[in-house]
Amino acid sequence: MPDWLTHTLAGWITGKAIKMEVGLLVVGSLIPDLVKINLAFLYLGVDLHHFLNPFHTPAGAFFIAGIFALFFEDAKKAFIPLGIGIITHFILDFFLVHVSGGMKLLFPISWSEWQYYLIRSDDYHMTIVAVLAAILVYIIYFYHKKERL
Amino acid sequence: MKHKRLILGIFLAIILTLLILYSGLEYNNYDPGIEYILENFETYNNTKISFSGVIEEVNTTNQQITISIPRTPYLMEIKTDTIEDNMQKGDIVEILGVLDGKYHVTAEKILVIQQWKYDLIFIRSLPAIPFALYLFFRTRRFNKKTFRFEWRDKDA
Repeated sequence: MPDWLTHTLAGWITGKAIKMEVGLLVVGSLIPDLVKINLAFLYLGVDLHHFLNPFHTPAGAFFIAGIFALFFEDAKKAFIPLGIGIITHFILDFFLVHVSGGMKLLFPISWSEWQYYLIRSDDYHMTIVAVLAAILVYIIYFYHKKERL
Repeated sequence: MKHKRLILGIFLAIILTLLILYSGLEYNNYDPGIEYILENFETYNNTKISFSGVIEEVNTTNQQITISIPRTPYLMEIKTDTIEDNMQKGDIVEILGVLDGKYHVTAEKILVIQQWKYDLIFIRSLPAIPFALYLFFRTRRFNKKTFRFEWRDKDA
């Protein structure tokens, strides 16, 4: 996984670019990594990775987003930014290097895995690029907003 | 309307639960973990497997590394043509290779993540939690009466 900072910044940049609710988009960008709840279970001596793995598949993540969206007045309007956030997460994760395998993008229809090995998960340069891009977007957004006033 | 939402929520929760159960029960048939592979060694002997672990020992003379599998008592011997200079005890490794002994793999590919770089992933992730919470709760608040998230400011 890229780190969560990269995921949230990618969500924030996307939200600003397409003028959607950034708060929800950023939350959506972290939904697939709910699979990391397993770290808490591992601490307790229980490995639930096989059970929690659907959280890190598009189907599972969209179902979670669907449930979360029901806690908003307009569930459909809340679901869209959450869904886009999820998509940004999978796009970033798609380019991670592993020795084999990848993401189960069509689970539960298929257990096949897809991945384009490009960026190592420990490569912090990706985070630096995300931070710089976010600063750039913030500056553009700030001046654009100032001009409109 | 309220009931419709509740029914939809229950429906989605049931589907999600089914996905969780299906994954948990079938996972080893499609994407077996190393623990399952070693428990069913005869089935997987001389097949290509992949798994991850932590380096315990690097033996440059025999071109071999010993790795432990977290949360299991297993130690795996990995035979490799290329031992990287920076491989050290505690580093995280992903291995792709042929299982040619109960605890022996001849590696085709090894991906090494230095321990400090692995820890840094988690450290870099920490600021994301307050960042996401701030962005979300800046515009939304939870109404305990309606059990919904609503706008903090109608004009926001």
